[in-house]
Amino acid sequence: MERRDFLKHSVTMTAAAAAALNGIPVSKAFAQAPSASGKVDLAAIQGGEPGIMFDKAMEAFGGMKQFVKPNQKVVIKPNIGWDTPVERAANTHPELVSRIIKHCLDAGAKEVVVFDHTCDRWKRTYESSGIEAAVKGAGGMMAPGHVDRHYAPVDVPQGVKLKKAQVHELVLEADVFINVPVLKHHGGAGLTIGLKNNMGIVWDRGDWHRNGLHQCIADFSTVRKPDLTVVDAYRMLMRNGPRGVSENDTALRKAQIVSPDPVAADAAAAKLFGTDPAQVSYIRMAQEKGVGVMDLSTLAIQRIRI
Amino acid sequence: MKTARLFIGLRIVISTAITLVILLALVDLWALVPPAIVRFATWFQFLPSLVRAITAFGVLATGFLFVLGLTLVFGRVYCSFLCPLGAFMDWTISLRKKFHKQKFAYKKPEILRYIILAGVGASLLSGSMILANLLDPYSIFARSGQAIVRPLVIGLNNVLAHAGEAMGYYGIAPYPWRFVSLPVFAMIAAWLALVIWMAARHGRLYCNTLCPVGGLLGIFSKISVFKISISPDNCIQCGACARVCKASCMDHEQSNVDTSRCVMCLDCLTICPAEAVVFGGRVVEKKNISAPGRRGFLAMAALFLLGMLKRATGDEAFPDLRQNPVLAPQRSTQGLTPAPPGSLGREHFMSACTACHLCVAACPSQVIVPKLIAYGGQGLMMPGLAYDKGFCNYNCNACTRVCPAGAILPVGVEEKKRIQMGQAKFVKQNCVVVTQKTECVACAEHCPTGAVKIVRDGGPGLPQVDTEVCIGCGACEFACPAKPFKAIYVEGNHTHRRALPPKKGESVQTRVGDDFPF
Repeated sequence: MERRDFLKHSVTMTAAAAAALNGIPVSKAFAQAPSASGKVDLAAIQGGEPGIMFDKAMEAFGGMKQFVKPNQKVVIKPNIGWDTPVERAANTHPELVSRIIKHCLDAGAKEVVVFDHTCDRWKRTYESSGIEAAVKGAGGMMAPGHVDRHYAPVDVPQGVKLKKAQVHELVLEADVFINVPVLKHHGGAGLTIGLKNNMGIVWDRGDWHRNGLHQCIADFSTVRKPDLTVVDAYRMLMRNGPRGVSENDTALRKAQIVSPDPVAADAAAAKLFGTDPAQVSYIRMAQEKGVGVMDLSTLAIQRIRI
Repeated sequence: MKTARLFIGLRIVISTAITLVILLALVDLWALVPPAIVRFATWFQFLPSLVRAITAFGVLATGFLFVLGLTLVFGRVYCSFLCPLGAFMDWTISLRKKFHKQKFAYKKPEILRYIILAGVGASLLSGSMILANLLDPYSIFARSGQAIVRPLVIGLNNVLAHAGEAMGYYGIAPYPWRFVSLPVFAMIAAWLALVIWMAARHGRLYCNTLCPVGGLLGIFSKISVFKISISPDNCIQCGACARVCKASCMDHEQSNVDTSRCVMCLDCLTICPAEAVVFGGRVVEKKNISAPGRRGFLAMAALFLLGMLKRATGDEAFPDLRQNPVLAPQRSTQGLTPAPPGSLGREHFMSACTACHLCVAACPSQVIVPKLIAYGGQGLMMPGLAYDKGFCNYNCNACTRVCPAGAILPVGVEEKKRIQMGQAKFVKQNCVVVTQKTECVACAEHCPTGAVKIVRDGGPGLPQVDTEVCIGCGACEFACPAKPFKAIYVEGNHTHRRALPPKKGESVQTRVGDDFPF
C-alpha cells in the first residue's frame, strides 16, 4: 500500500531523471569506465558460446562492477515472448541470461529478478524457453509479468505519440536495468532488438500497434534507459519474425553486442543482421531524441573474435 | 458385524479418495496433478464412460462395464463408493446430522426415475446430451467444483501472492481470475442447491428420483448376486435400519429391502441390534411396486420421443445467431464457436460432452468457456473456445488429456498442432491499417503457423490468411487491437480438418556474414 503510493509519486521523478540523463552523452555518463584499452562504448563479440562471449564483453568493460554496485537490485529483461524451444531463436538464449545473473551476483547484487510480459502464455514461455530453469539455476528470481497491478502509470514527457505508459514496478524500482534482447526479424518493426524488447516491460502496449509502432517505441526509449543492453545474436531469426515458423528461419551467427548505449547496441545489431540502422525508423527516431548514438564511427568499439 | 464396519471404512476411504482426486484436478492451477490419476478416478464415472462407449470406444470406455459388472454382483456400490456426488451427499447428510437428529423412514418407490432414465437413454441414443448435461451426477459435482471451489483456490493463491510481493518475493504468481458466466453459474448453483437440499432433507433422494445412473443401476442391482436383506426370523421390528437408511429402502415391517434403491452404504448392517439385516447371496426379494406402470410407460415414451427430436432436426435447425455482412464496419465478429482440439468438431463434441468442465479447469490459457445455451441450443453448459481473453496455445494439449466422456479425444501435441478447429476470417474494414492508416501486424506476429501473413502493396501491410495452414487457434483474434470490433476472428469448423503443416522454406543459414560489418 505504502510502497504503491511511493511508486506512484516517484515514477514521474524517475521519468524526469531518465530524461535528464538522456541529454548527457553516453561517453560522459560512463566516463569512469576503464579497461585495458581505455574507454569502451560498445563491445562486439563473435565465435563463442553465449556465456563465454559475455565473459569477454565484461572483460572489455572492466567487469560487471562498472554497472552493478554491491547491494543493488538488478532487473534483467530478456525476450521470453514465445512458447518455443531454444533452437527456434524466438527467445533470448538461456545460457546468456544465466551468465549475466552470475556476473551480477559476483559484483555483489542484492537480488537479480528476471521477467517478461510475454506474448504466449507466460507459464509456458518461461518453461519452454529454458529461461526459468536457467534463472533458478543461476540464483536469480523469476517474476511474473502478466499481472496488471504490477504496472504503474508513467508520463512520457518527450513522447510524440506516446504520452503515458504503464511500466512494470520492478523496472521502476530497480537500481540496475539490463535489457537482453534477441536479434530477430520482425514483421511490423522490421527488426526487433533492444528498444523494441522494452515493449515487454509495458502493460498497455496493444495501443502502440494502433498508434504507430515505431514512434511509440522511440517515445518509450526516453522513459527508462537500460543501464546495459546485451543483444543475443547467437542464433538469429531471419524471417517470419518475431515468432518464426521453423528452424529453417534461423541462422547460427554466434555473436553478441554489449553496450550501455541502447541506440548504439541496436545500430550495431542491425548491421550484424544486414540492415542499415537508419532504415529502422525507431532507431533513427531514438537517436534524434538524444537517447543514444546511431553512428558507430564515433564510438569506441571493442571487437573480439573467439 | 465387524466385517461390515470394515467395509464402511473402505467405502469412506475409496469415495473420499476419488472425490478428492476429481476436486484436486479441478482446482489444480499449475497442472501439478498427473492426468493419468485424473483419468483413473474418472474411468469409473458411469455416464461419461457410457457416452464414450457409444460415441468413441477405446479403453477408457470400459469403466461403465466394470461398474455394471460390480452392480450385478454387489448392487449399487457405484453410488456409495465411486460417485463423487454420492460422496458429497453423504458429507452433506453427516454434516446435517451434527446439527439435527436426522431420521429417515421407508418410502414407497416412485417411478419418476424410470421415466427420467428412459428420457436420458433415448436422448443419448439420438445424440442429444441436454438431459445428461443436467442430470449426470459426476458432471454436476465436477462443474460445481470448477465454478465454485476453483475461484476460491485462485483467491487463496492470489492472497498468498500479494503477501509475497509485499515482502519482495515474486515466487508465487497471481492467477488470473476466471469465472463462468452468470447464467452458467446460476444454473450450476441452483442444481447444487437442489442436490444439497434433497440430501439434507431426504438423504439419497436425488439418486432415486432424478439420477439416471441410479435408475439404471437399480435395474441391475435388483438381480445382483449379493444383496442386503432382512431376516424375518431375527427381526425385532425396532425400525433402526429404516431410520438410518439414506435411500429409504428398508421396509422392516414387511421384512423387505428394495434393492433397486439401495445405494450400498452398508449403514444398516451395523445398526441392527438383532443381526437381522444381512448381506449375502440367494435372497428372494418380495415384489416391490417399483416397476413402471402404464402411465409411467407413457411418460417414458413421451420423454423418449422428446430426446429423439434432435435427430430429426439436426444442427441446421438451430443456427448460431450470426450475421455475415460485408458492410463497414462489420459489427459482429463472433463466429461459430470452435469446439476444443481433439473433439473432431462441433458435431461430435455436442453429442458426447456431459458438461463436467474438467477441460475448462485444465486449459492453462482459459479459453475453454462454458455457455448456458451452447452449440445453437444443443447443449446445456457445454464449453467451447472463446478468444476474447486468450487463445489456444499451439504447444498445448492439456484439454485432450482429461475428458472422461470422449467428447475430447486424446491427441499428441504434434498431432494437435495440425488440427484445424476453425479458420481465421479477416474483416478489412475493421482493420487499424485501414481505419488508422498505420502499420500494425499484431495478428501475423502472434500466428504460430505462419498462416496469417502480411502482404504489402506499397503502404502498410494487410494480413492474408492461408486457410490450408490456419488451425483456428485464435492468436490473431486475441492480438488484434481493432476496437470495438475485431478485424480478424475465428469461425469454428463443424468438423475439424487436418491443416497443412507450416511452410518451412529454405534454410537461411547462408544469408549471414562471418565478420563484423562495422
